[in-house]
Amino acid sequence: MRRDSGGIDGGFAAYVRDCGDHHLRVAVLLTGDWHAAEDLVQASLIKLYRAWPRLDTSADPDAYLRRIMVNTHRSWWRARWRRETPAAVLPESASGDDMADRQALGALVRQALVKLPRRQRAVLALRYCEDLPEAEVAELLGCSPGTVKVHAHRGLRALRELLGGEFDLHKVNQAQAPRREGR
Amino acid sequence: MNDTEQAARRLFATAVEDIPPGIDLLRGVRARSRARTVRVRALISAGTAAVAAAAAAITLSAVQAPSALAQVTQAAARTAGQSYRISSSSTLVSAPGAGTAGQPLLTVSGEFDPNLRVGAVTSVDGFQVIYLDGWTYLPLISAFRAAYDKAHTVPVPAGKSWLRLRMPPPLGSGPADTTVFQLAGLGSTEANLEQFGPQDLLTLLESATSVREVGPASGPGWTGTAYAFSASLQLGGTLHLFLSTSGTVDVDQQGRVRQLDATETTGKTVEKVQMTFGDFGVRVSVSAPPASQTFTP
Repeated sequence: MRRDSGGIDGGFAAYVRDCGDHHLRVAVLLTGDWHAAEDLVQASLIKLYRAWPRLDTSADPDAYLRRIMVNTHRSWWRARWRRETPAAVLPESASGDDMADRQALGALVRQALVKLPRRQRAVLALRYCEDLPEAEVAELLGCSPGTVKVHAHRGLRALRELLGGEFDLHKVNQAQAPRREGR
Repeated sequence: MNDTEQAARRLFATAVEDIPPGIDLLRGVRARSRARTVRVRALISAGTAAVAAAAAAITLSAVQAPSALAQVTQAAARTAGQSYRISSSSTLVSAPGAGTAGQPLLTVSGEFDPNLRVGAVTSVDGFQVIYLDGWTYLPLISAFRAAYDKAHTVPVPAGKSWLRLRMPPPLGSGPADTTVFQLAGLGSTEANLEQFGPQDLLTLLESATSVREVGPASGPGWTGTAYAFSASLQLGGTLHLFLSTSGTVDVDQQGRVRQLDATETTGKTVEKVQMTFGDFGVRVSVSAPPASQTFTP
């Protein structure tokens, strides 16, 4: 059974409205920048749109789009079409404003990720943002699950070194988390 | 998940929560699907600069034309990122203990969609190899069946006319169980089975280190530029083989690979191949052979 193309205002548009932001979030971890992430997702959605009428209704469009994004990011990176230049100065965490603190931290994390090798970045994004199992990440990246494990280990270690105290602050053991007292 | 992984998850959740206002993916997809011309856009944000190119042609900067190396590697990347049709013919130059120099090896035509990972290649003899859903389907013609049975204790069961193997990872991205060696793993020593697939050739081309422009090029419905190139790749895994290729590549004015005339060296085997690319964006539709006729080792 073939998926109904429905035109760009039909099923495909509904899919983009429902799921687009999720893939945008993964893309920003791959690219480090919201505008580059928007480019990546839109370029990938164009390719998915072209394939949309041929997709089986039982197929998972998320899986297709994820593969297209990973392949497109890899080809962009190889061709150096997009220069990923880390910011010269990382934003300092503001104090006294939770929202500003979180935004500053978010920017810090994205810019730290961009400093990692492309594959480590892809593994971290797919494992800890998409929550994909190692086997599925391996299949997407065309490597073995063992290689995924190695990239994840090295990526986390590099991230910890780059983020320093910010990383350790988030290593809160559940047992040490503050408990609410019942009333 | 351990503490470190949990910390990473929390930090990533923070890193992705603040989608800036004004991003409208659907509007962008509509705009791009209507676009017929290339646009170049410069983005400057908080000390970070990036140049974006979309669709056919590329202009890297308004000041400096891209180098021959950039033209070829970018063309290879662009071609490898979309669906296409190929036709290819190869001849043997030399191989240890096999064949005669100048012996024709394989002439095929095919179509691939690398994003959906589907494709099919058909030889002039009529046998077809199918790529679908992460699997490679090989017809058990007598040469393949004989090669498999020779190399394995348990032969192919009777009544099976297709062999199903896991699709190999992209060339150079994993151990040396690529298309080339997957067929060698059947136990075949036939040089004509050890072929670089078009995606493998494009991957090698992306790794080109030496490129120079040699002149204009043209073909049915296209004009462009011819470049001389050389590229190599050292594979890991158990085989540790060295792959190299050199020759000429024609790139059309839309920045796509149109023709490759190359000498491929895999270990001690040397072959010449001519491969043409066209029908970009073609809809590739394949079907798996009947499960009852398919053997999966």
